[in-house]
Amino acid sequence: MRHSSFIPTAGLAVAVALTAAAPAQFTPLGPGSPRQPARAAADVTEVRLETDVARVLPGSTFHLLVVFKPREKWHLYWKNPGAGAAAPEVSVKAPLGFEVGEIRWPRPKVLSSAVGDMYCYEGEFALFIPITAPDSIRDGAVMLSADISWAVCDDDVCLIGNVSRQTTIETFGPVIPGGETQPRLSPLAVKHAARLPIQVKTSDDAKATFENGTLTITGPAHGRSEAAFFPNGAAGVTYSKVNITFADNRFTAIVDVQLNPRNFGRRQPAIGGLVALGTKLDDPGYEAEVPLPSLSSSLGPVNTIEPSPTP
Amino acid sequence: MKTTIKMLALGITAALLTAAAVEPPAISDKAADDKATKKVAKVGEAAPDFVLKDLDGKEYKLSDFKGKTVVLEWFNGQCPYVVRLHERGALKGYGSELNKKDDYVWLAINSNAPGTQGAGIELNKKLVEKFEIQYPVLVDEDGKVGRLYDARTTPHMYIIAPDGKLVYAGAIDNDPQGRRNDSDDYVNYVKQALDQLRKGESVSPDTTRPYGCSVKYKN
Repeated sequence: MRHSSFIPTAGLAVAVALTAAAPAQFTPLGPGSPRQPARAAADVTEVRLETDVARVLPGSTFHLLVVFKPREKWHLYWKNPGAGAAAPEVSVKAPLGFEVGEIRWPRPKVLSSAVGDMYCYEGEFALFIPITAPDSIRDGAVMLSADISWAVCDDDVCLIGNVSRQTTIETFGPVIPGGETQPRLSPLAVKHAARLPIQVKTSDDAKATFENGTLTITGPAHGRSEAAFFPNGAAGVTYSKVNITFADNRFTAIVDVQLNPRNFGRRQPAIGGLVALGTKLDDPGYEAEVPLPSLSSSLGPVNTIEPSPTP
Repeated sequence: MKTTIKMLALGITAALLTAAAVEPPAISDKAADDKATKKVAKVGEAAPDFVLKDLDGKEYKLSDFKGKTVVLEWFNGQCPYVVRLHERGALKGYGSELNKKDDYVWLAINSNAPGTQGAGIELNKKLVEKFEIQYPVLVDEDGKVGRLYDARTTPHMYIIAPDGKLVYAGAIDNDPQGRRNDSDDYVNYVKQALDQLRKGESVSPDTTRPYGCSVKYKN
């Protein structure tokens, strides 16, 4: 069993109906109930919503930060949780004209469990959600809100939480008080942005290709000589052998990829993952995503898995 | 389940990171050993036979159900995913209804080790009552059947066709956080697979990523 059709990416939707589901609770069952968790996810996880700047200019992009802080010994999951429970989901509501982008996920770490490796976060971390303001904004403030759901687990149990959070951001029209040109990033944003990988698509020095069943990611090694690969979770895509080499202060990651179109689901998957350089959480990393061109052209030469016959 | 932090330094120059498969994710060394040396359930192949007892000690043998469609549901009634799914999600009443039909058998299996979350016969009897489950909950405390099927999470769902072949393994649906079940992109994979089987179609998708609490196997 090496394929999947569930994409555990966070569903970002503007103006999604608010789900006011209460945190998952357990009903005590009395004696004979081992390890009754007395807590809800919100009891072991702080969840905050902030912006990376205090004010936004017309047409500019800022980030909404969903900041999670699980208690010690508890963890949450990356967009591909590996053998873990499930990634957090965030639905953002922003005023008309504001464009909400895809979540940017900080570098995770690997935790091992009896059922496999999990890609996790321990301690405080932040998801970054880019939001672009319309050109037409005027002086004032806008409110942003997010419905956030997450799984938080320790060695023994998992809890599920759902909360709604709000924050406001000041808006300025074309005339900026004091001649300010760019709002300053908050210290919190600076701290957490250090864990965000560089996107290959925005880098002049890095490149990602997918040809003949092989994903290749190359880029600057930033003086590091070791790396790990975190594959994106995508329906019907299996990543197998990973080979990362270093030469001339550059890395090359070569990953064998097998596709099972039967399990693609409704969305054409993108092939990709994170090459995390070094060993520290704030070491640089490169994240790549290569869309499959089309079923007909992509499935010929690549490694495909034949559908099994059904009786 | 003891977790340990793995350094991400998975290789220095020419590092070969084997088995980094995500779908499903990289398996543990123990699971890899099990896979290498034992027969492990695989979609498209005959489902491995097993014998387990239910909460009342009644024995169930998978091969006795040949000719019927069998659904296996890995179960931990204290896992919040299972709780939600049984109280207001895709598992609420569904298995019990299906189990009433002659051509179907729905079996829950609890592979959690004694002393871990959701384990214990008395507790499970209470959970069966709480969720109004009307199908057997089989006890697999040593985890042998769970490992045989490579069950990772609760729930983790498997469908066995009437000819004994495993035709689906994975999640119950594509809604781990329970937020999507009214939306157009919601898919109940098990229901979809059973519909496809009933129509004589091939099951697609036949494998999805399971979500939920990890199975608390005996060390």
